[in-house]
Amino acid sequence: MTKFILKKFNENGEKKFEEFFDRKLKNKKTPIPFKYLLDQNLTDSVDGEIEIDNSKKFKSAYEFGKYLDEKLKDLKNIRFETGIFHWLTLVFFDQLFPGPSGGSQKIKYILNKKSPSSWKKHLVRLRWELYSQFKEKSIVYLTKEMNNWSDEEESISASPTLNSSETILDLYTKLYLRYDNKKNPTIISKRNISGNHRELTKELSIYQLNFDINRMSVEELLNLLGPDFKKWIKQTA
Amino acid sequence: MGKFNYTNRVELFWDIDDDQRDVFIAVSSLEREFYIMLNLNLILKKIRKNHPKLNEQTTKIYCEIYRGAFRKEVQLGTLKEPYHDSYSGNNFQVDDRIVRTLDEIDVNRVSFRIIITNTNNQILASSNSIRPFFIGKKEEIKTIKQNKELPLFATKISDEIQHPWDVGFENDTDKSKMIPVIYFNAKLDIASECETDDRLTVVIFSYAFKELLRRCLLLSDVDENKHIQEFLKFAEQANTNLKVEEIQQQIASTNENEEIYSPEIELFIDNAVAKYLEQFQLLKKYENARQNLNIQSEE
Repeated sequence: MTKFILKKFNENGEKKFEEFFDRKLKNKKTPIPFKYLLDQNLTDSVDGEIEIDNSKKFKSAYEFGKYLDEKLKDLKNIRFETGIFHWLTLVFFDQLFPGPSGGSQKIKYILNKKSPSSWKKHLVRLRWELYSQFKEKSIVYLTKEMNNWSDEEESISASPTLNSSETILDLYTKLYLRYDNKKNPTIISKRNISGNHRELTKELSIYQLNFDINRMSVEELLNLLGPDFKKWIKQTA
Repeated sequence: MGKFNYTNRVELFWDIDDDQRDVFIAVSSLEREFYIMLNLNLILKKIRKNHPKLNEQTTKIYCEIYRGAFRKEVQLGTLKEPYHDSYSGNNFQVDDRIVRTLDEIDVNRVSFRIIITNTNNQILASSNSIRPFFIGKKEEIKTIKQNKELPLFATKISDEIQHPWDVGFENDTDKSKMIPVIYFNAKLDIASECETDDRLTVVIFSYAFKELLRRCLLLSDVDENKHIQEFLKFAEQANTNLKVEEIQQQIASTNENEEIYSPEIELFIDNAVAKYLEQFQLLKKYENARQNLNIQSEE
């Protein structure tokens, strides 16, 4: 079975999914319980007959976010519907888990209701949120594989101000996003070179106390930055 | 606030006594809206002091709404022409220019930040994260404002409780800011039924008051918490024989689980409940509601 009609986990479903995840962490051979996706005791229906194809392979987190946005675009007020995102996490679990280096941090897969500020680190919800908010521009944060929590995502998820601002996304794009000869997107910033995206995030966190960075233009933001950051503008892929 | 303050910005206060408060925000969980009152005189005085050349016409006010990692922005006009709700002469007026819906946000966990900026995008004033007052209907703002004091406890719709209703403390990670709360189960509609049926209000609120008081008496290190202190002061005023401090000393020196149900403390709590029922005329409201029901059924 590779196609499902979109549902959302109810309270029991979310609990069972989390229990499965905890078991999986202890024993990587634990089979993925796809049967939960259809279990009437664990799921509730959502509006419309939305087909989700779990055989679909995604080249990048961007492609994944785009797919989710296409599927979820007609649903209202789902931002805080953890049941939908947990259900989708299970649908694509074999593509999401583990990370490329074996990463299996729980907040990447489970939305803790008592800690919504950690939701920005969820592998499904964040990709959906970034694409649905910024559409094609979200590529700057989502160039890596779907199971790879990228450095760029780690940087912008540091604060809701950063990951909700289109201007800041434009600034990241101008500084660090390039396309190679085959038109593949690539991030040129390197962690061992000064003025990288991690340092930019720290710099912006200080600026946002003093400047209204959400409503500033890219040029105005660039004027605040030092040469370590501006040097990236001239760099090619 | 002094940290990294390059723009001489001032801090806007919200969790402080009414006469010093710059910003008051309430959230109606039933109407899924927020209401905001700005004390413009106070705010202007502060900003002018740090920025004598202030241009009120071009200085903008923004309200940022946060829920976890989600941020939404609402414009509140300029310092010259601000958009904000107001209360005067027992009249609460909403400003229709404010986009106040919280439909896309989980209203129970929302927080706010106010930012005032000039044309150079410098922040002239800002608040830290504002936790709103949670109310049922917007009319409850009148009660808060009329009494010039904090309500004894807040009400909140919760999807984390299993019972129809429960009591507890909001902000319980910070003892100085904990607030006594009645939680209503989000799956039920009890909060709005309380609005229309005083009998339900009396049954729930009287017992909730009793249980919250018992829990407040057990709390330690809450001297700085004005919500808890107001609650305890209210109870103490109903009693002549026993002081809160004496109760807390007794509890500290004995087995607290046994002591809190001792006849002496039970009497203290009962007296406070009696005062609560009397002050808010709850028994009278119950009786009136019952009579109205009888009249309706006879008709």
